[in-house]
Amino acid sequence: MSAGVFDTERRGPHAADEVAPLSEAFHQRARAIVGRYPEGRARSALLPLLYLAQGEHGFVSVQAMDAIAALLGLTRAEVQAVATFYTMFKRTKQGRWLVSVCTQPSCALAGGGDLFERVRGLDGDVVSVEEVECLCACDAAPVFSVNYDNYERMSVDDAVALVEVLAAGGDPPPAARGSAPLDFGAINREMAGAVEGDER
Amino acid sequence: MSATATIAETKILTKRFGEALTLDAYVTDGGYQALEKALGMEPEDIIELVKEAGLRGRGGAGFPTGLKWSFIPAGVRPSYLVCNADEGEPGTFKDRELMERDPHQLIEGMAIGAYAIGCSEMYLYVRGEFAHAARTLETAIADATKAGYLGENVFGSGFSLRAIVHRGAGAYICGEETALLESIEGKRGQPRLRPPFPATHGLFAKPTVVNNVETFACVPHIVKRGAEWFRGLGTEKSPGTKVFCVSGDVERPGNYEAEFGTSARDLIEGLAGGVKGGKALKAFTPGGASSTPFFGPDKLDVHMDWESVQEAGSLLGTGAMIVFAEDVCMVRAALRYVRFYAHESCGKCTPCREGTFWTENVLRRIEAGQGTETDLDTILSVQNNIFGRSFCALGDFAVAAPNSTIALFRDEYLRHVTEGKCPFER
Repeated sequence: MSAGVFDTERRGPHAADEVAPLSEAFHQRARAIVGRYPEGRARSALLPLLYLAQGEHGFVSVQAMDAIAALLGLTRAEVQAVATFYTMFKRTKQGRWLVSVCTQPSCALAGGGDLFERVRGLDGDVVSVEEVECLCACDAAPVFSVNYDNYERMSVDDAVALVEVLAAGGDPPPAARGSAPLDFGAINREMAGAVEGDER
Repeated sequence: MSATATIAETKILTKRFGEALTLDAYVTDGGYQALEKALGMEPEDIIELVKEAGLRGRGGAGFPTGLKWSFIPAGVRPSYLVCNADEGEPGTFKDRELMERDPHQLIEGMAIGAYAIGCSEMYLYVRGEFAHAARTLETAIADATKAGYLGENVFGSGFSLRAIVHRGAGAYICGEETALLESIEGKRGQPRLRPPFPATHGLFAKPTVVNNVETFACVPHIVKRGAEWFRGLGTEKSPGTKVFCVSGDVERPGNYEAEFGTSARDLIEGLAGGVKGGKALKAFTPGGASSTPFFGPDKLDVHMDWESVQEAGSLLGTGAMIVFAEDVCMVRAALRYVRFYAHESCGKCTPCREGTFWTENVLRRIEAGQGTETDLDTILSVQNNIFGRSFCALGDFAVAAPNSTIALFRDEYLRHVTEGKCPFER
């Protein structure tokens, strides 16, 4: 297991992470996101703001959770309870590319398990590798995603080669729906969602 | 192969798949005409129309949509309309495609629903991992708003509607509608106690309707072409078409839209091209992982509608058909399903949290060749203590795979025990 919020032995549950303060851009965008929800329902912005903060730090830091708690009028416990419930909020710093490999039934039949075993060793500073559940593209098995853009119908060998390129510092090719994946910071900022006035 | 391999799809919802996704293309094809027509109707007449059409929820439960809409109390405002786009059922991949390939069809269906229940702010709860779908919807909403199909005073009717895309963050349980509402409110996605039901106390404790993507996608077609036309498709109790997701060991995995009542054989052997590599069929799930017991080849002629599948001993669920060829180990298949539920159990209820965990452990032991025959009874006993003893249905869902594989393939389990290893390659 990776070090997490509750890694009390090592550093205490609320010890600060080594991160820069959240930027002015974060706070500006955060206000706009809170404004998306009805009056008095600022808490609805919690998931989006955790994404936004993850986009700045590469993970959800203790400082970010405290800052978000202050912004939304929540306790630290309320924010941590939510941040640790959802698997897409990470408590350890992720690489530029998060590779998620599905090993559920249809993908397993098409070699998803082998694919995961072969790429998990590439997990490091540049690439983070995780085993995930059904990405709902079972007709295109084996499926994996890079920062949540799916790659479909690739042979296990070709998929391994793609991840090796990323680990060596290369960029990902266009994904199944045509666009190349954003890096981990950018995709998390996008996850926070659109607000009025965004250029699209 | 079967003599029925000539079956064709009935494309209603998937008709525009593969064509341009732009607003212009949608409008050129008659898009948003249903919304314009609906805005000229009384809201209660729309609800009546949807009831008459017999539209039932496509998220798995098959609850009558018009009836759900009619539960919204008059005069309590604001009310909310929410799209459940948290598709995560293993084997299901229709909602993602419906969002990515025809986003305006969904938006139009939702807008009609919003008008019918007096809602001016609707939410699309999109699964976090669906980055491309959420992106596509955000763009489509911006375009539709700019063109006046959403926003202030739509079609000069005085009706105004705002749409908000809210992304999930990785939790299958948020597909349960009350957990989904918790998640929009910024909380852990844990199901709520019912009653009160969302119809009176839903999002922000206001009257709320939650429907699946595919359900909303049917609505513009019903408004445009009428209840009678819709009832002319499918069966009496399951009208319309269904997007069936066929995957696993078939030649042509994919989404196939067909009328309710189409046989599993027509879908698997006809549309999906039969079992891959000419192998024999060992088993298939008719409706996804959740509480839909496996069928063996003897069930290929079951008609795929809610009533027929249930009569045959399983559930239609989301229409996710995963096909397993003769050389697949069914213990391993069951283990994969159970692992899913063990991971996705939210931890609230002991039977589900502990039951899925221990079932996974025992299955793992059997698959590794270290199990005993009494392990099968242990599994069945644990399953029986999960079923019906948890707060929401997730625990119940987890029971189907181990129970039905033990019932259908007990000999395979026993071979693992007697041979001391898994006798299969896959």
